[in-house]
Amino acid sequence: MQSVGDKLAELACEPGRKVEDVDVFGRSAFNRYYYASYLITRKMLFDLNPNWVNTRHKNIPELLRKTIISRIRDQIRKQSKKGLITKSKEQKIRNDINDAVSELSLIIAEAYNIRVIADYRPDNKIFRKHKDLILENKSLNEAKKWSGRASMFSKKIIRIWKDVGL
Amino acid sequence: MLDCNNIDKLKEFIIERKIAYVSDVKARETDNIIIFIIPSEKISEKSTKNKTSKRQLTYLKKEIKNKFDIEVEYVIYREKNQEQIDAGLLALLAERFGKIIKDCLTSFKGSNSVDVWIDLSIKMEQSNRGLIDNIRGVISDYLNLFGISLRSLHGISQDQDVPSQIVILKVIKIISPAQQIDINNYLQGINYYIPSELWLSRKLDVLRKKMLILRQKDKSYVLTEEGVRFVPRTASSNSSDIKRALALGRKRWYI
Repeated sequence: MQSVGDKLAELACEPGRKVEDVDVFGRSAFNRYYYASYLITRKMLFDLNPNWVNTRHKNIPELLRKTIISRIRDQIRKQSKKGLITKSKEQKIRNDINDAVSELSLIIAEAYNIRVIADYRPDNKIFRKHKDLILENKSLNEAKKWSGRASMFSKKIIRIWKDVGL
Repeated sequence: MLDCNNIDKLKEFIIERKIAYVSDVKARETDNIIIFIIPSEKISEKSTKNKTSKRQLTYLKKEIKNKFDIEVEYVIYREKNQEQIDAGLLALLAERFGKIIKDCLTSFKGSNSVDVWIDLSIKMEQSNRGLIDNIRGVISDYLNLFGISLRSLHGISQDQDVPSQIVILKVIKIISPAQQIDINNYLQGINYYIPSELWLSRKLDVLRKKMLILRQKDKSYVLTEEGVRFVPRTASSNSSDIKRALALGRKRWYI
């Protein structure tokens, strides 16, 4: 998906391309970049719990923020009470999971919003800004990084999930 | 369909609450969602007069849902200078540490504080602590040039670190009754790093003292009833119950 997005972005940014073509190639690039980050997140959800793999796209941030965080918190509370981890370790895990989940859910929510605009709001046109393309304040160069960021945060979530014994 | 009355009330609410950090509000009719557009420089670690925090955004979303039955999502865009700082950091780390750092990304917590995430090709274990501190120092010095402080450094590595107590307990549940060497081999087989025989033996002692495992006469370890209850149950392929069943099946097969 990422490489398809990159190719579409390259086509959209080619010098001399007609405005209408910049718009359609650019929109498709935003779409593919969203799916690249979605598929990484979906794989992570499958690894955590296969039942979560069919979560509706727009409900993923909520699943991350509520269910995943609370399961990890329950575990570390239990382990800290039993003396298997120290209070400071409990706090560190709590901070780490909050950071990773909040980052990933923001990316997924934001990428989904832009994807929907790219696909269903043709009146919101893409415009060029220097060597970048902008849709609804979001730059294509930034969208290109969605999947890399999603991958980093997913790895961290899986690591914590496993470390707490889940 | 988005209820117009509710949207008007939401607009009044934004003015009333003096929510100055939202640069634009859009309605997405395809799935009835309102989008708040927010520049990333308006997000800081703590809420102030003109800034908000990521935690505050989560509360705001809930409050709007409860008050007006409207779903809100956020689109946060980064300022150009943040992107340049990001690119500069990646180039610096590549030059100083080469292939040790596979990837690096930043997450700004406002205009003067940042979290840095690095993907390492080495373990984040104790023996590498000096190198990690060195990386942390290089990142901090670089960020200081821009008046930005490093809030936290998150490292991720391909291999697992040393196993936590609960991971060791889970392994004993899967392969018990198990000798220390079997536990050691199983953990290494799933990519955990075991510093020494003594290290593992101490960890097992802690679990024994907590009454979660028993050491039998033949020096093998088994879980106590409390130990069995203590291991979390999951629905994933990583489930200790499934792995235990498979391990038992394998044992029977080879007897």
